[in-house]
Amino acid sequence: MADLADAELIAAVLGGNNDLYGHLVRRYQDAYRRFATRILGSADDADDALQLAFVRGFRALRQCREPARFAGWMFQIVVNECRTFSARRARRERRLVREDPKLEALASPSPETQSSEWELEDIQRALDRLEAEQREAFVLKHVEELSYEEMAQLTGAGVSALKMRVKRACERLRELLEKVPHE
Amino acid sequence: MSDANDRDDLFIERVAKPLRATERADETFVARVLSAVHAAARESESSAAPRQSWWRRRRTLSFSPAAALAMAAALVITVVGLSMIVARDDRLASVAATPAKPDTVHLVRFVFADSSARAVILVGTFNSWTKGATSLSHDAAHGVWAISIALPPGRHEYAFVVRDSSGERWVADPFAARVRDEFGTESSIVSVGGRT
Repeated sequence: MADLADAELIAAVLGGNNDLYGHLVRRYQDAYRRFATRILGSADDADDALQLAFVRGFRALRQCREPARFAGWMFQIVVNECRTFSARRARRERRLVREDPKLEALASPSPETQSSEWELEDIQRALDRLEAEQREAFVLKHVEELSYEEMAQLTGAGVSALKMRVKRACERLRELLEKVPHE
Repeated sequence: MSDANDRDDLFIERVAKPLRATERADETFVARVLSAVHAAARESESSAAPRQSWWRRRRTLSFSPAAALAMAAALVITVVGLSMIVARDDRLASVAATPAKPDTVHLVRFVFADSSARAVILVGTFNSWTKGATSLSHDAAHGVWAISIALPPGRHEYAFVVRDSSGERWVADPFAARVRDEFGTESSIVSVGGRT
């Protein structure tokens, strides 16, 4: 069963064999998990958002018009679920990151920090401080390595708007991670 | 200009490379999704005869007397009902072994005993199998993890996600009836209010 193509698995699930949906989950969970973790900044939140996304995908499976392209269709659901999850959480918590002393250190890193590679934790913390749209655009472009055309299809935003978001994200990340040179 | 672009590319690569590290799901993820999927399928099947959600209705909160909290040793999990009745105005009214009314919700206590656990999470049909919803509290005095939650009458599937030094694992209740999915993952069943 695990060897079946996506379209075959989807046909079987729509035929009533719901268990086979687990093969699709197993096949794509890691691919989506990285995106969700980078966007939400928390492995646990990413886990919850992904689970909700996969269940949403199951409920909407009949609307997947091109089952052979399930991965892209499902990724769109993941992106939307992460947006919803992030907005809900922001309302709930009003993002407490500004009170994190480590972030203050990031805003003006020491020379020692400059000379070494950043840890994933430091970069993630800086990423968390970006505006949601900028964070999403940066992750899609430079982490998931999508083209701007693919990003536009996925997010519904225009290519020029996405380029601007990525540019702003890079500038902001630089501010957070590097000392601005005085020339 | 070219130098500036090169610097930008270098900066982006320094930032993006660590972010491209793979993130892996724990072993319980597929089981949780699949359990939630089964619940969604059942919900979809029953939606042909729509009725008001249990949590919207006025209700009596009934803690029907249950057998004593049977606490077995080692890895033991029990589901125990409590016993009290709360009137419709939410005041404690009386304590009695009154049969539950149709719109009753029951307080069900889930207990998990494992001395090596660092955290225990309850997942089930009642919380969409999400890990962020229902964590058990550690009762150091009795050496168990426990939580009480209100459930409507009916059949509920559940399992525990246990975090310890080796990671996370999925544990079904050894003392409850079980269901098994395509991948061999077992979940437990609790029937509340005499309904299945």
